[in-house]
Amino acid sequence: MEDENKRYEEARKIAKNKVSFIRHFITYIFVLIVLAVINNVTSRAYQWWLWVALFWGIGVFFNFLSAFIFKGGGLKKLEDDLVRREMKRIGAEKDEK
Amino acid sequence: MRNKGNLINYLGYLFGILSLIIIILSLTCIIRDRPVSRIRKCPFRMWAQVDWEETLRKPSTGWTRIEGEEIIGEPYKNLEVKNISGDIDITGWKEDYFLIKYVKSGPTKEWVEELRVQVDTTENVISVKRLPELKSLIQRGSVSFDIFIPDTVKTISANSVSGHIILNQMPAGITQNLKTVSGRIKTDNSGNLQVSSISGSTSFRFSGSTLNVSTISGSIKGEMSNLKSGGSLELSSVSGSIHINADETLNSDISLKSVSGSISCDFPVTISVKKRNLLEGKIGEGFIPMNIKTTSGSIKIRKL
Repeated sequence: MEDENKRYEEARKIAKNKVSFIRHFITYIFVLIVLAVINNVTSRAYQWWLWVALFWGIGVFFNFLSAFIFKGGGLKKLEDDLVRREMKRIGAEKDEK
Repeated sequence: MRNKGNLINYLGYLFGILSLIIIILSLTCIIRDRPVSRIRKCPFRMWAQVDWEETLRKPSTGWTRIEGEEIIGEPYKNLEVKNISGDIDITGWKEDYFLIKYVKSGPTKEWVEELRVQVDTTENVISVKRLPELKSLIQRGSVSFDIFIPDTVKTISANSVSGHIILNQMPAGITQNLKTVSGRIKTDNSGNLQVSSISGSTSFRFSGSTLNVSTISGSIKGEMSNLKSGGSLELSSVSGSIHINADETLNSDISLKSVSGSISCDFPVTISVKKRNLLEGKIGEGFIPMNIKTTSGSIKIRKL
């Protein structure tokens, strides 16, 4: 039952991250459009909104990576693996004694 | 339900790829617009000796440059210069004609050929403009002006978006109106003066009656002498400091306000209001009103 709950929580977290990424991306595009319009209505000489597009874009891309590519939590998995390995090692040492 | 879940997955991957494309495109536009090659070619070993400002102003050999000049023989009294990207240097000389030299430069030949310099003369006004006005999203190339003016000129108006405006060897008493968004403004002699800048510093030598200088993040340094009564002196900045050197004959009704910076004045002041961030009073007889305001910079008034 506990395992079931844990899996449910994990699945919920992944789903939440995915939806929040979609929302983040839509906000990003909307704000960029507004900034590009303001920039080009006021003065076309310098396209400062590109800097926002670049740096916020990097943030959005990292959000995508965490929501869709490394969704299981890369470090958390690594930590679980390490815990399992250490438990095995400790068990083996006890058996030897 | 399953279809909606799939849709979110597909959308997620699509948006992820789109965000990567936007990053690459914006980076490309920024790099194409900002010629990093000019910085890369600087002699690294001579780092300390490099005049960086001059190095960045001179396009490298990788850039296309087209030079040109025009001579205007009539003794016009007013000069107007409008630029978008590039410096404006105006120098006074003893000849009785105008010499307008310009350098068009850009990363590609097509961009440079698209740039034009238009010189119009109407009654008493000589107008120098960079064309075309920007229509595309990205700034295309720059034009630097080097203009020599005779001493018949009475007013100068120079306007740029990205570039310095430097006035040298100016004859006395010329009314000047200088505006730039990002760039330094300097005039070595002016009559009535109006300066507006967003991010550049301003330095001037003033001997007129009306002075109006405003910057957002640039500092203001100025010298004032032989002030004429009847005008006013207004200097303001948001995050820059304001340092003024004035001759001993200064007679001014002063109001100095700095929200978080220090205020100091070398002249004897008859104080009417003194607070931590405000000093009001009179220097001498107090003929000329002087208002100096800054938010986070210091204010200093020194004797010449």
